Amino acid sequence: MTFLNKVLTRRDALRAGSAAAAYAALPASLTRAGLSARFAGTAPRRAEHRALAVDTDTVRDLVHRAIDAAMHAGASYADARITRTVSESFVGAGLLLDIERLGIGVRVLVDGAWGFAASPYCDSDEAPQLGRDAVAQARVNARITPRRVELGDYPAATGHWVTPIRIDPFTLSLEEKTDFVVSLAGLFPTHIRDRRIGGGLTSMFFQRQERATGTSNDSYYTQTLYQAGGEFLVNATTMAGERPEIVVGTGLEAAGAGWELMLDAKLREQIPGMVEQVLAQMLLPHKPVEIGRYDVVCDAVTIANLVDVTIARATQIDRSLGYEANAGGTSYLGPDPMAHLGTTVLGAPLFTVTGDRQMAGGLATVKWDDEGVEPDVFPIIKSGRLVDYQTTREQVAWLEPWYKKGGHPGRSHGCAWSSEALDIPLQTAPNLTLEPGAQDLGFEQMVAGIKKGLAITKAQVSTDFQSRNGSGGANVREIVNGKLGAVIDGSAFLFDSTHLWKNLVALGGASSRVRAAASEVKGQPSQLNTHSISAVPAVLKDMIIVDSQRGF
Amino acid sequence: MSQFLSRVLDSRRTHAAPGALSPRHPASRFLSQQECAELTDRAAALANGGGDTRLQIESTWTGNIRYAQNHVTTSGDVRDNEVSVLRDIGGAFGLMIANQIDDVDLEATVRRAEHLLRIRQENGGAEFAEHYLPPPQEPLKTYRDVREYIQEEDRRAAMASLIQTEEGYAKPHIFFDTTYALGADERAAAVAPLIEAVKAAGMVAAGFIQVSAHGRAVIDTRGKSLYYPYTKAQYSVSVRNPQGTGSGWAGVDWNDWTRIDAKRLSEIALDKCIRSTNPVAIEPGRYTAILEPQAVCDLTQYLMDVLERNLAEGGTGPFAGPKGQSKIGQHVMDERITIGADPMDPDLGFPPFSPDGHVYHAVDWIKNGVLTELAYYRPYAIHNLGKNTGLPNSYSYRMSGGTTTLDEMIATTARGVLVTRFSDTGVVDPNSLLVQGYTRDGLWLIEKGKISKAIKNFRFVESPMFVLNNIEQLGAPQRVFRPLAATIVPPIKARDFRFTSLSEAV
Repeated sequence: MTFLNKVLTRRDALRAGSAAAAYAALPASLTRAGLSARFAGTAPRRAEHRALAVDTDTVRDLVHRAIDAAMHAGASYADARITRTVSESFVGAGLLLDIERLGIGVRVLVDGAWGFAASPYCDSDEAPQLGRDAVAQARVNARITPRRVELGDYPAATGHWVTPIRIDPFTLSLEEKTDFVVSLAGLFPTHIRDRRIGGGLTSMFFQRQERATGTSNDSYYTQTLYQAGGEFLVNATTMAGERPEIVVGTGLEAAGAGWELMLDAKLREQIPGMVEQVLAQMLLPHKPVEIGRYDVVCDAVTIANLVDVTIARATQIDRSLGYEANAGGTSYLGPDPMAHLGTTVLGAPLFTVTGDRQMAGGLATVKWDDEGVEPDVFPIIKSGRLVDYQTTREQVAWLEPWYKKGGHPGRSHGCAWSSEALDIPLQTAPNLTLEPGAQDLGFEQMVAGIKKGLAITKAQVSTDFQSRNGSGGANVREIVNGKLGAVIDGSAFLFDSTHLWKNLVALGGASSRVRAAASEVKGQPSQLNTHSISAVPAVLKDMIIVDSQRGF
Repeated sequence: MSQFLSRVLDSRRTHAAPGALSPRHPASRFLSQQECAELTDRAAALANGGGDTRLQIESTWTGNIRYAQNHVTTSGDVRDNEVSVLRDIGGAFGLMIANQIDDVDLEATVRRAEHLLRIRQENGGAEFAEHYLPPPQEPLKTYRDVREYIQEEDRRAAMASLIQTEEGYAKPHIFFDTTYALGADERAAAVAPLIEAVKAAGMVAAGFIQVSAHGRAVIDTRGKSLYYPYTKAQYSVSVRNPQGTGSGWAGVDWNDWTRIDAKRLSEIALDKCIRSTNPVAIEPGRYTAILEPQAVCDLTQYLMDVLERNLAEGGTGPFAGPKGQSKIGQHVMDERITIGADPMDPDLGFPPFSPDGHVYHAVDWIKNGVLTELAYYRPYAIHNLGKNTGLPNSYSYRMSGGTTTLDEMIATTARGVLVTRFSDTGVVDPNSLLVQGYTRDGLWLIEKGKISKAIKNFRFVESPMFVLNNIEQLGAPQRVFRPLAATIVPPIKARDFRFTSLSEAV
């Protein structure tokens, strides 16, 4: 029961950034092969007999009671959500966290001030009370700093939408899921020559959220949203346990997907290649870093992470205007968005980034946002130039002069979202797409085109509180005359978001695309939301390489 | 108006509406001890298959108000329950976490926990079945008692579930009616003059007040019954100029709202904003750094993650010694430094046990620079220390200081840098505890004993271990902003702090 000592609350799990955070000392053999056979016919699927099913008239009634009470109490606008979220996180073959949450939340606008009330008690007493509470707060707030909020007119949203998955992971029993993990573990050799090998599906998670949303302008819609992800790896050491190397499999990056993610990744088939690769890695020569500027070829994951930290937060209109100044910070694309739109050049002409909550398998993909808006696909950076910010209904008005200039009416890009009903809707990052290059280039071809440089893969990057300056660490190898050479130890790279993409020399083609997972903590109180980044490998010139331990 | 609103908030949940789903609202804004006990009884009554049932409950009410661009943006009133249901039969266990406490959902949660338990039982097979023993009649006092009582090799999994010791726990006063009563009206009233003052100075404020009340419970059918109510309050504010070329910040958290002087904090942030405007760039490098207490907290909080026996003995972190040992007993930092936490410290304030029922004891992790203790849980204690109580880490800490004031530190610095706080920090190397991040909200150059100019922010790469071994001067410890866990640290003047590159961020 040692692991129980470290069982974290949901918020802790979220703080760790993923429901699949690893823990020590989980009892080793939690399943044996054939468990599902033993339980055949009796293995209970996940209990679906909960008190409240979200796609029912009962829920619709509760949502409407909340909104009606709010409007009756004097709100000019109200929206309400009921969400039921179930999640299962596995470490190895053990189920680490099994969480189910239900809640109702109401947001209201009164005299230009927002109010919010939420609780886990989804009943016909509570719903209208929350509406009234939210209005009471907003009213008090409006008195001290009155202002105008324009939400614009949008058609009423109605209907039901489900993330287009193939297999609902919650229709599989726990035994079936853990058998899947166990079956993969047995496929790794334990030794090859003088190397110890290990590996398997080290983690996986599944989440399903049923969400009912209503707004006071007659929207009522339900959505069932799925997320899944995992990590599959092989590791190798010498017999004495030295020179550890790891190779991570592909296809399990967190996505808006179901159980089919685990199957489509074809993990079994990846094993021979992964084993060969990890053994080869153990033989690579190593060199210490030589600081300086280099041309670098970055894999798609690295580029996705760079796009995320330089663009995803920086192009949020509320951050840019100072609404997150007391939390995550502001943006280098501020304090006056109008000064940047259409003017600020962030990258080379081949740098185009689009916001897209319609992306297939995107973590932020929905039919409607939290305000009844259907998100559109919108360019944020077009041929290197900033052309738009992420917006919600309230925020569109702030950019009215820009949209007027462009000769089209401003429209919310559908970025209003909350992690669950107990969180207030905020403007949160949509999925982002980095437009691939026109030629069918891939990582290998880019390496072949570099005489002297570095290849950077699987970088972890971070920036400062304006998304302006950043640094990253990664797997780095030298490139000499178009070939990958020694591993470079102890390196890190530094970048300035306002210059990074101007050094973009080449982009991978559409077939080299990868969909990476990203997350964002925002708001006070804070909430965690996820989004996907579709990116391709790329060549960047003049990247500053430093010593990671010394920082320069 | 405020009292009315509070009473309304409290009184509205006294009955379940007919035809509703019987959610059993708490009488107040969070579950009381009685309600937690009843909830546990209901769960236990629903249990199938014998064994024991334990509930770990964190019931919460939160109220907040947020402002930015000199106006109130949002406010909120949110309740939640985090209920972990643990079913335990003969050392095999199943755990499920939910936030619903009505009959139907509670039953579904119990069933789910039992399903998970059955899998462990079935799969554990011989491994777990042999570990089953009825609980001992009396607490086991020595390692030999334990060993004799459980007569096989692998005791690790069975230990914590079977051996019951009822530890007493401290009873600090950490529930404050002043915090509990800070409703929407009071929060708005607190914020109005703060916004006005910043507006009058031509600057732009963004701030946040949050108060919360909690009931934490760990109750089981073996007789364990822990319950503790507590409140938390926080205020933080950022003041910027309209051009975005200056920024100041201040903040603090306490259990008692009345200990927060929001007016003073807002004035500090405004003053820093004005004095940090139009910073100039200076060369990065190693500098004597005067770290205000918030900066000291932002850097040293990472020590809390590595003050653990298993980690250190496993070779990870700055407290790892050679060959499976830790550095306990060794001198690890300046002898003026003592770091620890006492649940009864009236200026700290944290619940006396963890969410899963591990009791916190008063402890000095570092005493006069010597590593004295590292955290561990009961299984470790039984295996290695001959006792059956653990020493968990609350993540709260008080660091000792000195008597040098900030002005004295500045006056005695020939050339150095004054830091308000650090931001976007992260560990670069867990063994040396090397941390990277950025300075934020006020950075000044000190020359010949005086603040000479505001300077541009730096990125830094430095370890708290290095800083705590290179102390020139220490000031009086004070409470800082760290809502996760109460923290009290001194300002520190340290030698040779490594600022690695410039940042243009303001």
